[in-house]
Amino acid sequence: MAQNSYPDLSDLTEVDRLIHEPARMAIMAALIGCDSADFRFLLNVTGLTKGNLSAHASKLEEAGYLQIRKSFRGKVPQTTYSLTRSGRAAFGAYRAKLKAMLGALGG
Amino acid sequence: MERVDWRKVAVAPEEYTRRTVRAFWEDGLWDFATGGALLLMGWWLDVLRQLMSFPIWTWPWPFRGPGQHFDTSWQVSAWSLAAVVGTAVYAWLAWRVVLWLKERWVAPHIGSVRHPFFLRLEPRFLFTYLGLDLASLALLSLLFDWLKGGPHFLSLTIATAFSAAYLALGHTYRLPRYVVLSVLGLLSSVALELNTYPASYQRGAMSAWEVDPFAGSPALACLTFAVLLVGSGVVGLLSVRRGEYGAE
Repeated sequence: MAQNSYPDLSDLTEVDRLIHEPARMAIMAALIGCDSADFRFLLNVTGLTKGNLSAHASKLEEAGYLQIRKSFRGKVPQTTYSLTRSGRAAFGAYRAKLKAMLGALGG
Repeated sequence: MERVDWRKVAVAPEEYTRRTVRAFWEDGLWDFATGGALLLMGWWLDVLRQLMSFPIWTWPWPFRGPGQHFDTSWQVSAWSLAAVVGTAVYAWLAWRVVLWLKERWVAPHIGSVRHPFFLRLEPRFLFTYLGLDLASLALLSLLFDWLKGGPHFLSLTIATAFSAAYLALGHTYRLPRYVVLSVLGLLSSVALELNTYPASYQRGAMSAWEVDPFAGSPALACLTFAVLLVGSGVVGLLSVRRGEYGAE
C-alpha cells in the first residue's frame, strides 16, 4: 500500500486532553446546548454517578471551562453549572478537531 | 479483536447536546404555549378574512364601531401592526410563564435546565424542515388546484409548515409524539380543507368553519394544530412527571 494512503493523524496529540475524557466530554457536550443546568439534570443526561459528575465538574471548573454556582431553592441546596466563554471556545475547537480526524479516517 | 465503529464515536458528543436541546420540548409546556399562539393566529386570520371578503356584510370586531367604518387598506394595516405587537407581547409572556412552570412542575422530576431564547438547532433540522415543507406544499397545492379549482395556499402553507416543523423536530431530537402530531395534523387539515360543501364559489366562506373552495380556511388549519398541540402537551407533561424522561 502506498505511504500517502494513510490518514494524517498528527493532530491527535494536540487534542485537548482535559475534554478528551468520556465523562468530561459528556458534561461539556450537554452544557453546550443550554445556558445552564443543575446537578440533577446533568445526572439524567450524562448517566454519570453523583461522585463522578462532581469530581469531573470540579476539574473543568479549575481549568476555567465551567462555572459552578451554589444556591438554595427554598431550603434545598441547588448547584447550577454553565460553560464559560473559554469553555465554549475550547469545546468548539475540540469538536472540530475530532471531526476532522474522523473524517480523515473515513468515519 | 473488536472493531471500533468510528461513526458512533463521532456522533457521541452531538447526542449529549441533543438530549439537552430535547428537554426544551420534552415536558410539553411549549406545546401549550404554541397551541395558544395558534388559536390567536386562527382568530387573527379569520378577522383578516372578514376584512378582505367582498362584499363586506358586517364589519368584524374590533372594527365594528357605532356607524363608523374605515377603509379596508387602513384596517388591514392596523390589523397587521396588531399582529407584530401581539406576537412580541405573547412571546415575552409565554417565555416567562413557561420558565416559571418548568421550575415548579418539571424541575423537581428531571432537574432544571435553562435554554437560550434563540435555541441553537442542528443544521440537519433546518434541511429536513425546508425539504419536507416545500415538497408537501407544492404537492398539496397542485392537488387542491386540480380537485377544488383553487390552491388553498395560505391554509396549506400553515398546515405544511407546522407539520414539517414537528416532523423534523421529532426526527432530529427523537420525540415520537411530534411525529404522530405532524402526521395527524397534516391529514386532519387536508381532510377538513377538502370539505368545501357548505361554502360556494359565489358567496365564499361566511365563517371560519366554512372552507372557501378557492382560498380554503387558514383559521381551521390553525385550530387543528392547536388542538393536537394541547393533546401533545398533556402527553409530554404526564410522561415527564411519571419519570419517563428520555424514554424513546
